[in-house]
Amino acid sequence: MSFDIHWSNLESDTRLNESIKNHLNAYLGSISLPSYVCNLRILDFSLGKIAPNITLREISDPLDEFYAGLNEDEPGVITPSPNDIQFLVEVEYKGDLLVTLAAELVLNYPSNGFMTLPVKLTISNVGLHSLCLVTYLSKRLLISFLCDISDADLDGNESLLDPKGRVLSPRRFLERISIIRNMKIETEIGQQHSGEGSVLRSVGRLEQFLLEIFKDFLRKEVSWPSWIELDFNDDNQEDL
Amino acid sequence: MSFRFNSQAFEDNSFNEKIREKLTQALNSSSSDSISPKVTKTTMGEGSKSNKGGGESGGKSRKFDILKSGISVSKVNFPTTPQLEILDLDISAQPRSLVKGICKISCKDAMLQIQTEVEANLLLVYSECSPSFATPNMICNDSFTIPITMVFSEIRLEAITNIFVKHSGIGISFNDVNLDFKFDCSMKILQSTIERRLKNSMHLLFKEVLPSVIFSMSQSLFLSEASRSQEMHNESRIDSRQSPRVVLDESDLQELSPANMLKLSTLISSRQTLSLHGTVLNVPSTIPGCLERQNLHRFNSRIPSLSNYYSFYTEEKSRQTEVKRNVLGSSVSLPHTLFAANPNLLPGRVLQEGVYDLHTITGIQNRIFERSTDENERPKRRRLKIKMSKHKPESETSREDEARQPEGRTEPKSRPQQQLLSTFEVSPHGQAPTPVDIDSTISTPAIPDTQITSPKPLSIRNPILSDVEKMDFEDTSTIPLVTPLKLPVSITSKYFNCPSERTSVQNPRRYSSQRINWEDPMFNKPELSNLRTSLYSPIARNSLLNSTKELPEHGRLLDNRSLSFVGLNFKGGKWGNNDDPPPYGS
Repeated sequence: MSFDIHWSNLESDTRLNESIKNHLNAYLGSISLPSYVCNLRILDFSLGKIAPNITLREISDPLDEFYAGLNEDEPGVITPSPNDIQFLVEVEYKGDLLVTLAAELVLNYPSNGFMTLPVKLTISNVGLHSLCLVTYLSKRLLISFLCDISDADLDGNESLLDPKGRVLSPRRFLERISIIRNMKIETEIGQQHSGEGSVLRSVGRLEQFLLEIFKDFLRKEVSWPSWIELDFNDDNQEDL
Repeated sequence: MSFRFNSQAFEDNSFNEKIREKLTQALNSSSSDSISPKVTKTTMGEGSKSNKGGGESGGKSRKFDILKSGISVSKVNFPTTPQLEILDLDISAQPRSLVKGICKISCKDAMLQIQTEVEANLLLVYSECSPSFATPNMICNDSFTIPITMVFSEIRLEAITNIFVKHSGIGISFNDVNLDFKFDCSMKILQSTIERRLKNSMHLLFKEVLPSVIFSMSQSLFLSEASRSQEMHNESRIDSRQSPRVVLDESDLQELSPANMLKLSTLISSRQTLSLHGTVLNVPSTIPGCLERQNLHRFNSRIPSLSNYYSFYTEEKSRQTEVKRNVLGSSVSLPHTLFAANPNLLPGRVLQEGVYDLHTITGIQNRIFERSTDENERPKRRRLKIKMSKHKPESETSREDEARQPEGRTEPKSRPQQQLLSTFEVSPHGQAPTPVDIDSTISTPAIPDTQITSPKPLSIRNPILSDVEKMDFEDTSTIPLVTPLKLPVSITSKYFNCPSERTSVQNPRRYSSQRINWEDPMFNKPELSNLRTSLYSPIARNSLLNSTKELPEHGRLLDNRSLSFVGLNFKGGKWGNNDDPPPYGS
């Protein structure tokens, strides 16, 4: 572990979880949702007591792919400069992060918001162990998850998650990366009303479905050869 | 109740109003179109009509004529909100249905009042239907108009329904319907008849009418999507129309190459009979580039992946299981699952020992990306503009990252350069010894040191290997498209390395070790990573022939093996109870 993370400081700061939750809720409130989803919010957020393990593996010049990729969609050519730097970082997290999400599915028929179905998701037990490239060049921060790293704890869990996966299916056969190797999603559908009615809990297929979607999303968006770019360039610099 | 209804809609009567409108609309539109939704009304109408005595001649087309006015729903009342409970939910990725749910619907004390006017005339003469000489001169042939009001009250409904949400709409089926209501008709004479007829037609209502109504209503919700798909359909239809058709006459068939037809028919017959004609040429197993389904996993297992490339470094765990299998010679081993459960992971040891090469890893990942996606799909590289002044949640994390950077920049300035240098030095030469290393470690338990020298053929080919290992695209293009596989060579070298006493002791194990050979990490060596460029089957005959040329003294042994390869029997004649069934139908 190259970085000493004083997680206990975070943990002892009770306001932190609350403020992160508020930030996220503010963000969720600002995005526009499809008409059949409303009231997406975070009920509970806790960073947990276990710190991530971050190990710096290598510092080098940025890969050529980054320059090529940035130059593809930009008129101005970015050339390697001595200030550019790339970190190869091993990220490991097997902590007790807990997020509880709630939303309502809406049926807008026959009248607006006529019927709603409350859905609650509890996400916990997140496990990841990956190699990650963090590159800084010309005021841009590029982050890309390169590959997963074998891990006795996580690998065992994965095979348990998908015991019925089609063994020889070529598409599923070799996934480039899954980033989130382990994640527990607990679902709760419906709401009791004055003690009446049933709530559907732990819908396995739904949980698996959501997990697959989430993994697919991450794989598409932030795993090599894709990356995410945080642009710190000021506006006036952009004008030039 | 697990679904929540907007209680305000029930309190302020807006729901009742909406339902009233919708029902009125539905009842009237269907009475003119006479589609299925209003079957109930039809039967009711007929009932009242025949009772009235005027129905002796009214043909099917005139059955609604007795209704003078439209049907109007004058009152709807749901005093309590209905309850909809979700009992089960299933999500499937099947294209047919996306979501399948089981719901329980219950509602109480609902009330519905329908008004209409019935046209009735006991003495009605259908003058237009009968010949003119038979019709008397009628002074008045008008009908009487009788208003009818029907009230359904205390409606109590409980039903278990299956709901399917599909791309095209919502399908619903009522399974266990429990319906009860009080019926009151303004014409007391008709009350019992109508009630009886209604109750009889309720079955039809829930089995056919409601599902079709709900489906057609839901289609309007899915309309945008449906129209889009219809457009697609239309386009494809146009395409198919425009594309020239190939029609084969008998004369054409004569011009087709008989050799090709023979090949095709062999293929077809082997598909139909599942027989692979192991000893005949030109069957899938012998056609270069053609892969049998049974061998797909083997082929897949050699697709360059991090686990394969760094297989030497894979954790002890997997190696132990392999050894265990060797010892037991167990038939339980499942090569498919072994490989399928072998995801693309960088062994942790590679990182710890610092033997990784960043370009190799990115190269492998690029390849897998290309394999798994369409040619046109490009990697997503989103850009987020971050303004330094604002405290957004995303910028917090990035600032952390940024805060890290100066740290890294100042502190280990000298170290990274060293590290870089060392990796660059190692990569060209360092890879060369690896194959030998692998061999030696595998054979060390049994073989004395002097015999390690025997796998020389491998190191001779090392220049090629190192070429192959560079996964750059330009490099691969310079390599001959089909690199010969070296599998058999390594097999034989291992064989001949074995001291005789060892083979004699472990004779019973021979078959099992042959079987294991294919899954041996030794064969996951990087040289095989090039398999993707060569579409050759891992056990194609060509490669075997190549290797026999190189090592003629092993030719006899190889020939034996190659014969068993041609058929499915490559596992050493133990096809049968010990082997996994062919993976059809998975």
